[in-house]
Amino acid sequence: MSKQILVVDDDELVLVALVELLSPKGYRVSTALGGPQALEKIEKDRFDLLILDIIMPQMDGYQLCQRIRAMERYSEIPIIMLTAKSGEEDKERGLEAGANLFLPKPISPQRLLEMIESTIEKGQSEVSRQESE
Amino acid sequence: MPKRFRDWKIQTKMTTLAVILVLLPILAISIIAIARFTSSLRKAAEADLEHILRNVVSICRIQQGLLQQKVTSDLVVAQTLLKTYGTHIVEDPTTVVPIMAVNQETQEARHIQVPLWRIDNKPITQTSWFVDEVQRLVGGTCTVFQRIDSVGFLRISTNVLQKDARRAVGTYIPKTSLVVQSILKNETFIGRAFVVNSWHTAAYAPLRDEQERIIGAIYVGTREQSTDALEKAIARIKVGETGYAFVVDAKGNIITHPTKAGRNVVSLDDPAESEVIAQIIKLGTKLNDNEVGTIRYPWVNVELGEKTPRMKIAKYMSFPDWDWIITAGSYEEEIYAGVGKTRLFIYPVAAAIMAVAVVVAVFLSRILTQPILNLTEITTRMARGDFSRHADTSSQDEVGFLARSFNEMARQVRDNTENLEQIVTERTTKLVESEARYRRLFEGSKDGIYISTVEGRFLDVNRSAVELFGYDSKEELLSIDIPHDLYVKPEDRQRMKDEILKKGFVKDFEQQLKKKDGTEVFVLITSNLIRDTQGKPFGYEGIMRDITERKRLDAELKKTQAYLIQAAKMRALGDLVAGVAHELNNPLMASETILHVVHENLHEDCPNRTRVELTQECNRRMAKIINHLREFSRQAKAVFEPLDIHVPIENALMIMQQQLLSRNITTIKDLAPGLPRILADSNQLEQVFLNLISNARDSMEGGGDQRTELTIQTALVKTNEQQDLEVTIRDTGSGIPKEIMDKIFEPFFTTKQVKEGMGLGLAICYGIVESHGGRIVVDSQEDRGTTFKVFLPVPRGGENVKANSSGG
Repeated sequence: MSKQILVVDDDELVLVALVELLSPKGYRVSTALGGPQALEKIEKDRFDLLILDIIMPQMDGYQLCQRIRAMERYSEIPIIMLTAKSGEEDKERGLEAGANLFLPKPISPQRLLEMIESTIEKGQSEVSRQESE
Repeated sequence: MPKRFRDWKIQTKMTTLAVILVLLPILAISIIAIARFTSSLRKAAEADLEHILRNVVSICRIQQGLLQQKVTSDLVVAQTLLKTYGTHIVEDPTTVVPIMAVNQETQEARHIQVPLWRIDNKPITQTSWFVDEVQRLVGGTCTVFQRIDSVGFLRISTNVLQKDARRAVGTYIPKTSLVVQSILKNETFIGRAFVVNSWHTAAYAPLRDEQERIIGAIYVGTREQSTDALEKAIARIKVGETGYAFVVDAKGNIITHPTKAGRNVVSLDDPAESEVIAQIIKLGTKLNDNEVGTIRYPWVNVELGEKTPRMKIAKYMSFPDWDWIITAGSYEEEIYAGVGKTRLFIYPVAAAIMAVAVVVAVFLSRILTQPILNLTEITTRMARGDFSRHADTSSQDEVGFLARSFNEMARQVRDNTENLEQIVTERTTKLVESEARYRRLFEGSKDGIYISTVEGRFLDVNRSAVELFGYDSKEELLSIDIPHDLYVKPEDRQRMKDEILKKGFVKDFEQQLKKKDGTEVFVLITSNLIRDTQGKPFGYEGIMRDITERKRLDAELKKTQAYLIQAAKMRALGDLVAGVAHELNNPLMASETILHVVHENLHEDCPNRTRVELTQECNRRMAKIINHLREFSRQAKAVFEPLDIHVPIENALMIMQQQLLSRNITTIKDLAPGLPRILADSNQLEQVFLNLISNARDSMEGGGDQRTELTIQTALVKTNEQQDLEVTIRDTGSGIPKEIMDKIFEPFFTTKQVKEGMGLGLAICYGIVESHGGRIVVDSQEDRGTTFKVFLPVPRGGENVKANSSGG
């Protein structure tokens, strides 16, 4: 069964690009334009991976992450956070909020694919510290 | 005694005046009296003399008259007698008598022959029977003259004696004589006649013959001056005590005189005497009848034992009948003797009167001046402030009035003085208080207060001024030359002086001055122009406020403000850039993502694949640019905190450790201990050091046999009052060529290939260091190495300085 990924970002362009990237790889990608929409969608559907942008109006990535983690269903779900380049701070906060993985923007598509693969296929989220390049 | 009469004491004046008032009349009267007395004495004496003279002359005249009477009657007797002997004289021409005829005047002698004269046949010529009888009868002399035409009237019979005591027969009266002329006129001549050798009272009558022809004359006469009694009487005349009368004749014979009688004036011993008498004779002979002459002369009567001459006053008259000059004189001494006595009498009396006058005057003047003196004394006391005594106001005269006025005035003065004293005390107290107040203000003011001259010297300064300029004492500050010792640029003072002169003052005029040790101080001067009494500029009085600290703070504030503004700008920029970068990220990401997909779907041989790869390359560069922009914006959002400089250094080294080791670069660390903390952003500094170390690493890329050393040093340096941390990063690499040295900090300047670097590194370093208030300098030598030094300011006051946080 193909995995279900939810991408949350306030930029439609990003959402489109990620759909273009991930769909051919066999993932079923859903998009949410911001936190509230994302929460709606995860209520309705079941996802295997979440990709969250941090800086969003209304609700930022951390908040969203916390909310998601608060749901029992998703307490274990791997969440990838797309950080800004100012690295460490985002990571720490992200970790606190419950994210697992971090990828700085602008993301390298290749890395994202690899990250998704390794996370989803293994089934268990691995907390890995990634060093910023 | 003071010279001027005006300055004498009143008492003295009055006494003197009184004395003078008494003395003057007395003197005047005395003098007048004595003068008059003298005058009257003299007059009396002179009158006396005159009387004597006139008496004497009268007596002589009487005598002379008597003589003349006698002589007249004697002539009658003689004529009568002749008549008894015969009627006429008969001249016998046949009998001639030789006679030596002698002119009685000239003594000329000549032989003549005269006819004999007879009367009654008795010869007369050269006989003496007739003439002697006449003499026997009358006592005088008698002469019979025969008229001889050739000579005159010849004496042919006479008992007139010549000097040699012989009868003067043969002498003749010359024709020219008065006598002859009278006889020839047939007149009887009675008068004085010079008979032979002396004057006689004589009578001549003509002798006539039968024919009534005048054939001669008959004479009877008495020698004048033949009366001894008169002479003796005259000699006995006394004038006064020792005055006397004397008679001299025209020939100088002294007829009568107490001592010198019988002598002739020329024979006198004393020439002075002869002189005088000669004078008297000369003048006397000129006198008319009854005229009295006066003469004064000194005379000494040696015979009376006198030694010194005494002045005589003498009067003289002439008695021409006898050729007498009668003189009566007395010694002036005697005349004025009375005066002397009177004088002697007057002097003591005058002195006594004067003494009395003085006493009285003194007494009186004392009475008059005593009140004045009292008043003077009292007023003197008043002048000294002693109002205890009052003037005696009892008398009603002017002095009393004055006294009352003085009392009144004194009372007023006393009152006024008391008032004045009170006022003065009050004012003085106020003044002292005011003075003290102002002195407190002056000295207490924390600003420098001063008074200075136009030329540039202080006349007075307060303590604060002394301290402000770092001098040791007021005196020291007062001794300096303001334009040269106080002003950094003396012309600055002139500028201020010009303005003060124009406006009369300056307010808050900024000046740059210097302390005693040369340190600069900035002051605001507020000063007024002082003019002297003629309105000429004299000096300045003003206040100097030290604004050095304020200026420093202002400058620092401005710096901080500029810095903060710059920081705000940078922050804004940073925010902008961050915003931009953030905005760019998403499209970039989308672009990369989609290209990735496209790339995957393109066959290797497809030409579009390369094109896609090119585009991907573009994306990558854009990503880098965005990264750099992010870095830049991050730098602008620095967070300053107290930082130990070694922390970012060690961090950077740690990061680069591996890379340095792998290139065989020796790292030498020389980090000074105990360095003070600075306010800095650790991340940013870390970035700086990372950049510099990686540049160093890159410059030593060649490696090989060349020494490759990286030295990192830290030190604390001091310049002026500023402390800096100095971080030195030195490599032994290829160095920086001179021509690009000044470009290396420029943004986008790089020596690296396009791929490797973008040239933002050093620009960012520069920016970071600048924003920390420091500076970064470089020194390099080609093929030797490069040294970067970063200076970071140590905040003053240590770590108490609050961090300039720029928010985050």
